[in-house]
Amino acid sequence: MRTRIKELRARYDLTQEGLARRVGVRRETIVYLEKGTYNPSLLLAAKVARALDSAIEELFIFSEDDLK
Amino acid sequence: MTLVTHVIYSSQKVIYLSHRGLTVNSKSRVVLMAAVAVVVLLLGVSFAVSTWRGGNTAGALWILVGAIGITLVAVQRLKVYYVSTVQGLPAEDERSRKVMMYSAGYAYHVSLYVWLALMYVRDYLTQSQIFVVGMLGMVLSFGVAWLFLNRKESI
Repeated sequence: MRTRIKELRARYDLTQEGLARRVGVRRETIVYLEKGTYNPSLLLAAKVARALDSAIEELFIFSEDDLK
Repeated sequence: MTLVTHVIYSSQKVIYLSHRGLTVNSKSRVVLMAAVAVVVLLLGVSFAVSTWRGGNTAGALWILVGAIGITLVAVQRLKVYYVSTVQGLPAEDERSRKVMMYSAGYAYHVSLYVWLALMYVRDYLTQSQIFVVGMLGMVLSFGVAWLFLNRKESI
């Protein structure tokens, strides 16, 4: 899985800490989310998408291998 | 409302708040953790001193090391809670709770084998030694699992 969180965060001039505060998680969780190595709950994914004014499917991109 | 009902209702409320990610009880949690750390350290030191007076220097040292270790872990957790509170971030979130749940699962699994092994060697150990080793095994397996899982990327 790959995410566009870092890219969108930069667009809105948000720090990892700022995004974490908006979403209500620890900063480390944002770090793992950006790396695409943490599978968030649907609720957290929706919260991050809303914080970045984006849709979940635009934020989290899965390869064909991920979906097999 | 009876006392028992009140306690059950209160604990459910805390669990509910915790699931919502609110930090209503974070201040009291920090105070409770600090109090537990101080009590563990004081009990450990007094137990170590009484063991040392009984002539068991090695046992006293082990108890002291254990008490200091637990206190250090508590201080580290307190630091995380404090920094998070100052930054306005939650000290716990869904990832940290997931890591805790997985660690508890692994620790339970490992502790089954520890207790089985202790049952096998029960003739060579005293009752208190079995109890201490069993409890230590559970605590250590939880600590190791938590350290490993907290650093693991794909969880």
